[in-house]
Amino acid sequence: MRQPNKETNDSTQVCAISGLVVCAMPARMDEVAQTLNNMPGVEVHDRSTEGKMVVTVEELPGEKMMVDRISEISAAEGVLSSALVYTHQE
Amino acid sequence: MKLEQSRRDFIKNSAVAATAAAAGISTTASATNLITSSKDTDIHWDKAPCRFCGTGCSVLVGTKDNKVVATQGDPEAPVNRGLNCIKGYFLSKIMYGKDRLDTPLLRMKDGKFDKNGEFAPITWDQAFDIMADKWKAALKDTRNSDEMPPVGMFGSGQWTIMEGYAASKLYKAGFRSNHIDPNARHCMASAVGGFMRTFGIDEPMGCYDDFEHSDAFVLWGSNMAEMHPILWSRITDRVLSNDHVKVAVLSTFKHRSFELADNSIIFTPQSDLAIGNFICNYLIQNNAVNKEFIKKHTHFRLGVTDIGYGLRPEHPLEQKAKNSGKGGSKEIDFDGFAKFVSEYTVEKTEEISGVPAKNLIELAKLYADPKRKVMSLWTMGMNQHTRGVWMNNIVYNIHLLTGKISEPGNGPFSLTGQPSACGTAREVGTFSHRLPADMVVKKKKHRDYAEKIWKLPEGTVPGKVGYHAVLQNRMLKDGKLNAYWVMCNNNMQAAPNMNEEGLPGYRNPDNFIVVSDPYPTVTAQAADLVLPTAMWVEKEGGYGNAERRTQLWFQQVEPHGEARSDLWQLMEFSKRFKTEEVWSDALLAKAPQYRGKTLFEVLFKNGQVDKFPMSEFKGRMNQESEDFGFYVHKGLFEEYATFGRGKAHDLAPFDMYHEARGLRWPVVDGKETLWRFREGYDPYVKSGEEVSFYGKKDGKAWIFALPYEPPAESPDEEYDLWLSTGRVLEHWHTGTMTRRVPELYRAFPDAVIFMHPEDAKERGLRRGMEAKILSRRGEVRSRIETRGRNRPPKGLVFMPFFDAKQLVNKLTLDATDPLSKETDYKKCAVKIVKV
Repeated sequence: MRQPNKETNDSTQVCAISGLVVCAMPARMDEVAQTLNNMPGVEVHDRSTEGKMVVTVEELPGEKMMVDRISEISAAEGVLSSALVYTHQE
Repeated sequence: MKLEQSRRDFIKNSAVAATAAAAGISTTASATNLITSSKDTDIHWDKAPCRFCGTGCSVLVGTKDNKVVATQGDPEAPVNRGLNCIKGYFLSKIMYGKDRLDTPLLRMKDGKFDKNGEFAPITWDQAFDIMADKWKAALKDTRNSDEMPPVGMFGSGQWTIMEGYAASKLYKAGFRSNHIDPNARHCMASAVGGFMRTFGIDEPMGCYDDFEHSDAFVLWGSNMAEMHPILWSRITDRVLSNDHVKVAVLSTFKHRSFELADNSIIFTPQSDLAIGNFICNYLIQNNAVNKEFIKKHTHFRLGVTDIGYGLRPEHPLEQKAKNSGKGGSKEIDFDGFAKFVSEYTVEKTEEISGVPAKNLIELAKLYADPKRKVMSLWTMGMNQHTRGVWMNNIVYNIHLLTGKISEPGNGPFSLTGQPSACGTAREVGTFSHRLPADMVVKKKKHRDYAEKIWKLPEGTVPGKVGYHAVLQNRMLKDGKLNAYWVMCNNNMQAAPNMNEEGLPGYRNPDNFIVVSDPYPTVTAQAADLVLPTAMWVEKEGGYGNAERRTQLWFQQVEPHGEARSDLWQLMEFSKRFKTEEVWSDALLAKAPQYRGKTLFEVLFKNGQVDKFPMSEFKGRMNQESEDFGFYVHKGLFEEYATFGRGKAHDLAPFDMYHEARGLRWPVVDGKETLWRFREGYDPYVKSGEEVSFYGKKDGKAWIFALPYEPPAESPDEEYDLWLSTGRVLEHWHTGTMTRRVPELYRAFPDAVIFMHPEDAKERGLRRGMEAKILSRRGEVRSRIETRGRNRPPKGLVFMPFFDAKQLVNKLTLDATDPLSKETDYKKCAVKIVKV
């Protein structure tokens, strides 16, 4: 019953990048940003005073950790919410 | 800069720029323009609503070389304002699972169909040949009788509007069978029942704009934090930026949404009925009723009680029920209602529900405070309930008694779980009892209206209600439904009591089962013929979300392999039937011009559906229209829209939807309606009326007196635990799409059974151990989880239903709400033992 499809095999992937808005209590932003920056492939770019941060998650070919990492971010101490804005894989 | 690096940096900058824009932060990234407007990229961007839940987020889809490579939350979308939940990440992957089906597959032995054969690839022509043979054989015996033919269909709240409309028309008018029902029966039939009974018209009066106006949010059986994360982020924003805003969360177990709750309420299953009645009683006792409002805008009714549990008629519980399946009521007055609810004192309600009096009173006070605007929200906790319609009615009672309805920030709001449960299942009326725009097959006037629009002879549409979802499985098993097509759902995994009803029905040798799906689901594997389906942006389509918002999208990539859309399959199949093979001689005598014509010609080449030439098409590709030679989607949409225009279900002209990020009906003179039933917001409310519930003849809504009645099955000595089932954030429903995303196996690979640590200990179990869960109907194995996102109280366990290896529907009972026919997936009795 399985009908494998060769063209869309995942090994052809060269890069995957996601952009997330992560929200934390403003008083805890520094600490949360540090936690996030310490995660492999995760980078905090910009922040607002109300507690919002612009975060990217990068995945190297074959790593398959994007969903794990996004879940890890949303579960991190001090994070109130996280929302995905942008995803790219090719 | 090296090429790869510049490409990578470019993508990263685009990600930063898009994310910063959505967060409202000015960015230092070099790519200050969104990727969507950049000339440097070979990616084509176009909008589409998300393929998953009923929220209706708009997504910008990036395609390159005929493949979806990127997605971005649509910054122009009022629903999600540039945000997506984790499921947005799956969107670019759901079409590319390794086991995607590319050809039709038939069970065969020695080159011929054999119900016990192995699946082998065949052509579309061969597939339609055998299907047509089976359908014609099933149609033959009843053609000249009053009986509906034993041909049926199980469709979906994930069908596009056009697909649901074409399917409904093909069955009800073409095959003259009302045995068509959508999987939405499992998810919001009780909400429909509640709306129709209280207001006489379906779907919420308010909209998502209520989130920014409300002072209190009450969740009656909904885990929005996990199931509707984008709407939850709007509630979170409102709560965090306004100290006075309160949140009350009611559930039978603790889940993620409780993190934001001021009032956390864990109640005994089924006792929400008592809690709702207690609130009504509290409002009356504490003089918090808006007397002017109820006098002007409501009637009071006493509902029939002891209505059974929607089981097979020979079941002892049905035999015992005095008014099995009855939904009648009689007029009473306010005093009669007050007396009825007066028995739901705080003491009695505490006893039934297990909720401390303090929490009950705090909850009631939110509604009682005249200055506080309240939004009540619910999904499956309230709908998948053997008294789901009653419970919907009771929540409306609370809002009507206080007049907190149909204005910004105030209102009951039923959320949906599928992208077009509202747009397709409800509005198009793909249920076994419905027609478009809230009309029903039982009423001659409504059938006449449909037949007139369809240019069909009087009497074409049968007047009898067809088999609903659960009844379809029973009838398959009993051999009374023989040619059956399942489309766009995975019902073998979703429907209750698979062992005793579902599987015996599909494998009954009298039946021929066709399943259309992109993937080899549990349902596909139980079928005789499997048809490969084009999905999401492989086709043009339209969805309607929970706030009455209709959204359209264009096809953006070619379908995978030989996969074809459900719409193409339905229309192409209709070419195989001549009217005289399907319709009675008497009906044909009324319309001799249709003699010798195919159902395709009568239903789809009728001068209306084929009215718009391809020159009106403004997208890049459209497989069905190119094949049939006219703009199929526009034709179907416009014919369908004639049902609701001028009848408070007005849809805008088709082309407007390809421009806008969706519009909320009724759309009158190009303007959408945000709050229905209130003057100044709703064009159907006349000047001076203030409020008019115009779904009812005299504009007055009905407040129902309805009691607490026990559930169909409760824990006893042997089966000593409640079982509740549902979803988790990462997987959507039965996992057909989300389980194709490879990294998800790591994030949430297998279902687990959530239970209280003490319950586990008493059974000699620990976290991570394998256990057997048994009900009176079957057993499954799973692993124990005593921590994490869901924390059941003692005496209750929760298990998600996404995992095809752990079919929780072997355990569930096929008890339904006798009025809505929706299954109660939240309550049955199980025991758990060590293995």
